Amino acid sequence: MSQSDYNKLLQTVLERDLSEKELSEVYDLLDQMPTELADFEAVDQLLSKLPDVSVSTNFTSRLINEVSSNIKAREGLSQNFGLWWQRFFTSRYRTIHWAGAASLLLFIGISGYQLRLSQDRIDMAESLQAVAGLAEITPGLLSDFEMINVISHSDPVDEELWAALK
Amino acid sequence: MADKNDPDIALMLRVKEGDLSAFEVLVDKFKQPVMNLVYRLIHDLDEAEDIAQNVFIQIWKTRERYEPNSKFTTWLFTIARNMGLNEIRRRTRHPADSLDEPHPESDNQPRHVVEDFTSPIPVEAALSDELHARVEEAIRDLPEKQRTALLLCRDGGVSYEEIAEVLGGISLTAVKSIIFRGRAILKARLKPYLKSGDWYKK
Repeated sequence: MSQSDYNKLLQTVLERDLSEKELSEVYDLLDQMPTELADFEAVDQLLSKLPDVSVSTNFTSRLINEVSSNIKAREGLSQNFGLWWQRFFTSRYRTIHWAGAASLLLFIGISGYQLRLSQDRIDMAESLQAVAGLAEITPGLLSDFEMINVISHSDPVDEELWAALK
Repeated sequence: MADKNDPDIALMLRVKEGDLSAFEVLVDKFKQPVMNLVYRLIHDLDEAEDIAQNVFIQIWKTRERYEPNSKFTTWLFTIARNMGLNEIRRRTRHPADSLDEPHPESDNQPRHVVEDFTSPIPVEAALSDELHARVEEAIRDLPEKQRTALLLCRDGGVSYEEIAEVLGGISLTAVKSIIFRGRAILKARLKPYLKSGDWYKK
């Protein structure tokens, strides 16, 4: 393997990732080229000598404060919820609380029912609109409906024929 | 399965039990590598710090689900990378939010710069600043996977296996190739600075 092989591999590496075989070839070639190897080592040294990014002196304390307040808030929340729940059942005004809760549930139920009714009405209106549109397109269809109507409103039963059939 | 005697895993297992002091130690230990990675992904110091904070908050919130199946740093850097990438995606969708624009109170000066506290002699410091700026620029131009892989190698001494996991479970050969490719691109871009040999003196 020669310098030209190395240059070819170096060109390849700038264009795409190398395979395992190509990587071992390139490292073998590098071992034979001390100046190239020195350049790579120089790059590594430059990287290692890059200064650290500055971090605020209060970075950790700010973070710990935030986490601590988060913990306290969660503890407070669960404690408050527990107290509220306890009062709901034990307070001397518990009948008022229960009546309030029942009213709220009733209100939610009625609202839900009304919402459902409105939705049904909307659905019905949409269906009627669709049927009306259909009648406009094919007036012939109406005659079929009229025929059905005639059948359903036929003459009263012929009593004599009915008796004969019996 | 990772080694449970690994100090980071032991620390994280304490955090899992809700030990806030262990969490503090963990944050102190890893805030710098997380910041280095996130900043070099998004190039905005304030935003990088917010994201780094969120990385640790995410670790705290999900601590109960932590299982020591792999090294702690793999988990940490995966979260950091994902959050950085989310920010990049958000900026792509809302380009006006980018803070690469110049600072309103200065003429064409970038809003955020990386501070370098090692300034021994003015001339050397200037040379060093120039070199670092070129290296930062070259890293910034690398594709994201190459950049992340090189930074993880540099910062956390992260193994190729871990990098493969952080980059979404790619093969070891792919990791080696990505790293070699990144180094080759950097070598090509930084050629004049490598030849000067100035970096050797630092």
